[in-house]
Amino acid sequence: MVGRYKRGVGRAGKKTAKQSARAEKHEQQQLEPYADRPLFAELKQNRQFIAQQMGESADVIFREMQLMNSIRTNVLVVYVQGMVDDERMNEFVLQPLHRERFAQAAEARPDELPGMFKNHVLSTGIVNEIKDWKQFFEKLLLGYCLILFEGTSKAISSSVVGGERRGIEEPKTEMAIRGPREGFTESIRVNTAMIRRKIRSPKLWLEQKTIGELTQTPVCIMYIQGLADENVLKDLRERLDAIKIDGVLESGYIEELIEEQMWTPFPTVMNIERPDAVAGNLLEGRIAILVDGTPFVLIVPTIMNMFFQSSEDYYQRYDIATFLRMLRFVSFLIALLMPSVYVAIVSYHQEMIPTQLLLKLAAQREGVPFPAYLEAFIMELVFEILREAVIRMPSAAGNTISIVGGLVIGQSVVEAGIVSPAVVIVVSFTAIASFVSPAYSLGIAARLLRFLLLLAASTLGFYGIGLVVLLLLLHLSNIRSFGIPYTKPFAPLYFKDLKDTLVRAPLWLMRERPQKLAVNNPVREQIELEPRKEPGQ
Amino acid sequence: MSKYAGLNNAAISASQCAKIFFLFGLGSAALIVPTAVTAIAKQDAWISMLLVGPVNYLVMAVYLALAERFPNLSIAQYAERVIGTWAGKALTFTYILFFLLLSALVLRNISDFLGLSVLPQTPDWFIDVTFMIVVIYGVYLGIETIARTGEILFAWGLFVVLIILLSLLNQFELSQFEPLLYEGFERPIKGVYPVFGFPVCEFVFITVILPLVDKEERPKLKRYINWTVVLITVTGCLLTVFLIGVLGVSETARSPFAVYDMAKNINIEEILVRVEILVAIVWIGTVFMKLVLCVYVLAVLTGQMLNLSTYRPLVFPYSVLVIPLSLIAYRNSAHTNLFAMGVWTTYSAFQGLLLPSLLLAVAAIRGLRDNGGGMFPKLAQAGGNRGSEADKGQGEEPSPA
Repeated sequence: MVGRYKRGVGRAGKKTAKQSARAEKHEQQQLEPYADRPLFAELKQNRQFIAQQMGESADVIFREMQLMNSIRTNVLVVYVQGMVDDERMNEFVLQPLHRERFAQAAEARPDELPGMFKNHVLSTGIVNEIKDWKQFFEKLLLGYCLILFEGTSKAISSSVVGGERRGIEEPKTEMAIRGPREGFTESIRVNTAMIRRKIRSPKLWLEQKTIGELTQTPVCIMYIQGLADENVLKDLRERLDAIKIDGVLESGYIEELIEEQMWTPFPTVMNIERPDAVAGNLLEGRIAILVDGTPFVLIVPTIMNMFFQSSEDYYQRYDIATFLRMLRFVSFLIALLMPSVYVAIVSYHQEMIPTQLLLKLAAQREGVPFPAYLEAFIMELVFEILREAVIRMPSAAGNTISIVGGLVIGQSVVEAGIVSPAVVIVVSFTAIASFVSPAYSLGIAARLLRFLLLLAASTLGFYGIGLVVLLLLLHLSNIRSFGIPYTKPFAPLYFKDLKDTLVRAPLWLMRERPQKLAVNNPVREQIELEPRKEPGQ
Repeated sequence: MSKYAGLNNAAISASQCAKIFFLFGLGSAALIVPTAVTAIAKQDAWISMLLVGPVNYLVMAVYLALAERFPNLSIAQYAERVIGTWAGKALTFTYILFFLLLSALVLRNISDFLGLSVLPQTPDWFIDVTFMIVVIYGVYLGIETIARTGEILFAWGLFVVLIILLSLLNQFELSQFEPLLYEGFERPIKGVYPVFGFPVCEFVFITVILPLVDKEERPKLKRYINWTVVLITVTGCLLTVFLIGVLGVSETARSPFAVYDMAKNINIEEILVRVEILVAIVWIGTVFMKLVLCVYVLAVLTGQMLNLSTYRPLVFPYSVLVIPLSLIAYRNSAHTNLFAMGVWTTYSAFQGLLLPSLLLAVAAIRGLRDNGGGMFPKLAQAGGNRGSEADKGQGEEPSPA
């Protein structure tokens, strides 16, 4: 964590004139003008102001009512249709306003009414007093209903947030055979609750911020107090506070804006769709960042090894989990290197192939018009196009693509003698290997680097591959995520942490949490967990 | 971090230091030196390689003794304290020339090797330039990154060497070692000579790396370095033993890149054949580490001699200098052997053993010790924002001019 580069913080000291001019311009566009502007005392004026500010939008509902007290105070209920739960709204807000026993408060002055309502009338969980327009619009657009009274500039908000949302479903990007079937949803409260249901500890702390001046997106930091490193937390808070942006539509925005290293294909912030995986990371002393409106939760600090871990590894027996781990590492290397190794061997190092195989390959390449690297490049490109097409197209057309892609391109291209079958085999095997990684984001890095390696292999053979791999090693060794080296625990070597990398040690051996993460509280389990032989055996 | 990592100063751990020392030791030597030693000591070459161990230990002892007196200073900095500013700068200048030539020779080694055995039709300068691009990137990223890369290369290198040696076991013939010591110990002792210069005395590079080791790790350092000396000796000896056992004396002595030729012999059931490219890849890795360290040391020594605030602006010019120098350093690879065996040891021993020993002697007579910091002077701009955090754990005061 030496000399960690802080985005924003480091820059703040030396703002140029151009930057400050831009910042000034920026200030004018914000919602800040509403801050410290109190509500009006007159109900009519308030109503006009809201309607005017919101451009008379049709989904903003004004419901005027009269209280049954002696002076018949007028009350205005404001909410945004579709963002509130209608039933709860009727039951807990509108009905109590009509209730007869309210006549007891007949003699109350107007400015006492909001407090009285808060204490005696509204039976919803979250009720706040509102003093200025900034708070007013914040709450209104979060799906609260706002109640204004004639004769006072105080209002109250009551949480009846609701509306249609997607339910909890199985995570689409991280499937598992064994393990919980639930995945995160788009609603941040549902998501935080799902994590809380996994870790029922008061030490699971949650900090909420609002990011995005127009979208006002709730962003939560979740961590286990006492496990998460305070320095990382402080750093994270600083980086989040430094974000000044108009909108945050997905956690990808936050991810990109808090990364230390921009010029890298490797993801330095991990995203996860599974609550159990997030809980596991929290228990290791990592920090989760939840963003409203997306099922993808960010995890920091991220190291490369995490992309090879799947939550299922810990639910299955350690021996099979170890096997799967190694399989994933090997698959990653295949996905990265196989096409370029093929090109290097075929065009530069034919001596490496056993003679029989070499003859087969030579016979196949007979009559193929392109050199091997061009073949490989074309087929890789075709594969990438197919892959992208299948993801984006309407699912009804999916079958067409698989027929056209698989049969027409795969088979006819070979039969027509345009590319050799070996290349098709290599490219398709690479494609399959690239889907083994449980993390999609690392696979993307491999996709990009594959082309670079192909280029190197076609110009310099194995030497070129060696150079690019060296370059990648240097690059990986240089990346840090929140001060943690990306290649940890391989380099710098933490011998104890190797228990959860290429191998997944039995649970009773994982006595300690990863080093340099949960600095204050490294011990995970008691030593007595070690299985013992029955006496007499 | 990454952005400013080691812009001025950085810290590595003792085990990282030991690992890059090992890679430097394997460096370009592992492929070339056994040939030279076998030419002199014949079938007793492996005894020479064993005898190198104590010599290596003694040389390292000088550096470690110097590091004990001046724990936070590199050789450029304590030279100025021991023998005066200007004499010290002159001494540093000799080291700059030494490492400049060494970088060129190492680069020449790799381009010779690739040109002769892997890429015969590619021009040398193209190999040089592509290799140097990666080296520049590495040096530019700083010692912390280099050390972490070294850790990965170390594990990978050891793994491949072990695999290769294991798969050669079936072709090993003990009779190649006979007769043992039939001219007494004279030949094996003579065989130490080329190894003494290349690579043992080149280990003087470590006088620049030692002060970068994290303070908390210092107590372990001596033990780690000594174990690495053992490991280097054992690896060198094992490689020589296998060379003689598999290839035989005459072939080893004739082959320019003996280990590479030995790997060509790997043949397991006609399926795993001709995997010598694996050796080439490992060797590219170790040579890369050696070259990166040489250029790093070169730039850092120059920076310290000139009291610069960072070594980075020097990396590119030096690299541009190294490429043509490597092209004109030798006429051909036969010349390489002649030079490496005849001339280099004298020069290398002068720089690597004689000068440090004299420095140590003068320092001991004058009773000099200095715990002061030897970090690069901080950048004056931006209120030291960049440097301040990186100084953690090291001497805080900038080095006095």
